[in-house]
Amino acid sequence: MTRIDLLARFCAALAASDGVAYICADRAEAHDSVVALCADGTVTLDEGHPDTAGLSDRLRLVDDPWDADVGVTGVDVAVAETGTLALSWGPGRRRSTPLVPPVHVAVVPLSRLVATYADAIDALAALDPPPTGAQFVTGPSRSGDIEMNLVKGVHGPGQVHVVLYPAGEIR
Amino acid sequence: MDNGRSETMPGTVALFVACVADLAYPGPPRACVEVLEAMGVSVELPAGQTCCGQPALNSGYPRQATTLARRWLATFARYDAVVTTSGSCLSTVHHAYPRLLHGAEREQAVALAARSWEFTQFVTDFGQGLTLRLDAEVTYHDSCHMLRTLGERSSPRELLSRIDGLTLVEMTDSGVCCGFGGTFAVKLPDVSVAMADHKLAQAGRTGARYLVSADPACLMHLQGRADVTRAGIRTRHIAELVSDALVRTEVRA
Amino acid sequence: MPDAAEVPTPESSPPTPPRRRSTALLGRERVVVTRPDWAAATIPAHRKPLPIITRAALDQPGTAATHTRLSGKNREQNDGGWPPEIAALRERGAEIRRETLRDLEGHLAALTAKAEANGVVVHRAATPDDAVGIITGIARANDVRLVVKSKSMATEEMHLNAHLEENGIEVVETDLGEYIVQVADERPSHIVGPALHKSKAEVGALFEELAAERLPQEAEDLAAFARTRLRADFHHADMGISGVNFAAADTGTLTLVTNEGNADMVTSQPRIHVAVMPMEKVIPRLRDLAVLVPLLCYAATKQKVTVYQTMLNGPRRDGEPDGPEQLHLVILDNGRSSIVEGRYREVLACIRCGNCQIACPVYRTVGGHAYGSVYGGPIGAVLTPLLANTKQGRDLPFLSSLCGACFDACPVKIPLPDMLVDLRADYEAATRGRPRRWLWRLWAKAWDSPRGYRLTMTAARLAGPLLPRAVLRRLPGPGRGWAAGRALPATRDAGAFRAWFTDRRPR
Repeated sequence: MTRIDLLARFCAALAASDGVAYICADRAEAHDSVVALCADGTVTLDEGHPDTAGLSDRLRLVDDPWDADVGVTGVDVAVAETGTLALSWGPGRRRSTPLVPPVHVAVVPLSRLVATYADAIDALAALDPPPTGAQFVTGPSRSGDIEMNLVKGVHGPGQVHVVLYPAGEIR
Repeated sequence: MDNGRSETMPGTVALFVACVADLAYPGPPRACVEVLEAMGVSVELPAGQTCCGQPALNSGYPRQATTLARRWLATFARYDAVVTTSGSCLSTVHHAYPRLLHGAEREQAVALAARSWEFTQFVTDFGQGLTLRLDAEVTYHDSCHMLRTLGERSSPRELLSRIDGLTLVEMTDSGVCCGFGGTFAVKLPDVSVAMADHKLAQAGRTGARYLVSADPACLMHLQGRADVTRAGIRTRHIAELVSDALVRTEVRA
Repeated sequence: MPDAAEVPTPESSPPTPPRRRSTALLGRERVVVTRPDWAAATIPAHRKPLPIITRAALDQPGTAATHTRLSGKNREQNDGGWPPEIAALRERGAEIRRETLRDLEGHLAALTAKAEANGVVVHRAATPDDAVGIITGIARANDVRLVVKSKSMATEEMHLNAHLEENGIEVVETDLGEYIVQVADERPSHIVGPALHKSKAEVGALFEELAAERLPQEAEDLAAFARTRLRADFHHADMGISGVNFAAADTGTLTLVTNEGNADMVTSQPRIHVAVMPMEKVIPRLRDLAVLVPLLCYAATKQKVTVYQTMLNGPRRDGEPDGPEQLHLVILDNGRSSIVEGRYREVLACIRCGNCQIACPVYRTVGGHAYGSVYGGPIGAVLTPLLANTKQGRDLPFLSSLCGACFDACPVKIPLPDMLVDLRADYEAATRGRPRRWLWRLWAKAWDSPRGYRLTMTAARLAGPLLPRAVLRRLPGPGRGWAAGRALPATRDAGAFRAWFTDRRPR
């Protein structure tokens, strides 16, 4: 499967899960998009991730994720089949960033797209040393607990934005 | 036909009546005999048959069920073909006997199950020559064991579609249990009856005059409830319906 | 309640945060409990007989509406069977679960070794009481006052919330459905949808009582109310308690599958995390998640995957900015090590999707509480009698019409209908001296002979007119149950078919 196919599938799957995808020409434009998405809000940023490096000066950062309007992260891999983002934890990549603020923005170069959910599990299993854990997230938080009606944004973020960029892999 | 049963019509079949029919529901086996004879099949009634044993098994008495399973096998073993108007009883032969019996007896049960037909299966397989006509609007209830244990959903519908003038109006949840459930119906009668009400309500919504099924036990339960609630719909066993629809012409010798 | 000052605090602990009461449960005392006793969070010690409970359940005002909702859900989830790609996962999932059960202790030993190497403290609890002791011990040792909890059916088996509260520890359920039933002092009525039995209006009224003010009544509004209240508790709780969906033996990874994100909160925000799993939740390999997670999600909610899968290897390491300092894993037995040795082993293949409950027409008709047990529906009717701490509920296998829908709905192909039949036999064998047993023996003897069978038919033919419905309703025996709400079958026709057949023969 080509990167373009993976991208198309990812965007369709993410949309089906009520997430929003943005496709940018390059890393610089992707970072511009992240800045725009964060607008005037306070931000908690995963500074330990290479794909978000360089963003910290352009965002209104706060220390405590509970005070942030937006959490900005990179991902380990993103799954085309399901629209899933896989994020492992470690120094500079905290559990709270994609979870506690009401909006999650993820930066994903196309090189991180994998075809299937099984590929993402494999990617997690291959991490050496293994992380203390990982979160797989597919779209905004939801619940069907009241009369089985879908409600968005129950505990986790109510919005998930994924900013993708070719990073030179496709033209 | 890739269901493992014979592809040529047996000339003689043994009729397996089922205890519910013997006790309170003579219509379906009688209709079955009429239809099979119209197809040119000779029907025998093995006198030694009683019950398949399912009531005991499902009440927690497998030993007693095994006694009757052995009787059933002894009664029907010498026949090349068995036909019944109770899908549920046939499912006992198919599924429960191999669990109750061992060794040669189990093999015998499996072999006999493979040459047993539920009524609609037999008529769908071999009754293409029948001329059937009946002006009626019916809805069909899939009995649980016929649908899920025998995996038989298509034969009754195929058979109904062969009746000129008949319209099948599918009800919502046609495959949902009517609430009979054997001794469940008397152990937890309120739940059983509430389930019958759900089924009758779905059947009623179709506007059909008749609720048709291939299991006398479901129909006994549903009709019993319909009589009390004065639900407008009437129940009819599919063999009776097909018998009603028989246009008696000279069928092949 | 122990004096907090006497409890030694581990040196690694940060300064104890200010004592907080739960925000989510504020006003709980205002809620007037209206549920019947058999729906209570703590199951009464003496359960009424099933016919009584189920009758009462049928009379509950919301039962019919629940039936309608669940029937719609069942049509959506189970009409048309398994699509081919999921059917393939079902075959593989069924095999993975059986592979697990063939060497359950071996997999648990591997899991334990791996988890301990990852810094997890592993506890084995033979009984629910043992588990309660372990968990309250962890709470005391760490001066825990407020616990946030994400869904765990295993903790329901031990009535953990009540025990923690007795110890002065406040516990807040954070799954929206669990929060609803907690506020209503009920227990979950469904494995994955704890409040499936409640209408939006009921939830709205409940939250208004809790808040002592008018609230907007759309599902979004009610969820937002719960979200706001629960967020404060996530932020300030001392300890998180969660269940586990899958525990991978090869890596020690604990996986939780949710949609709301509450499990992520519970496992990441408090300084201590206790994960509770019944022993069968172990799976051989992390890679098996690629099969089991999509299978679970499809069976439970028809999603490809839920919004969140939380995979936990251990507590936070040096240099990590957040996460719990302690991660405990409590592995509950409660009779499972006996189950796995016996003929009902496969019931432990269950991955708790709740689809057999949705698929069960009896469950849809009476609701989950009417089973009077922690687990309702077909899986509950099989599992409950087998658990070690079951004092009542061994008769649950009879609360089924044996329609077989649960087997078709099971993502790991547990032969629930056969097990229900076999458990009925176990129940009857264990209740010695019942007249029922003699009646069945007599029945088998009579119907093992054509003459006895004919005699029954004659008796039925004669008894029919003698016992009209009005009389039968008052007599003991099966006729009474039948006559409750149904016209009697026409037993005057007993034997009529055979007479007809014989008479026409010479024709």
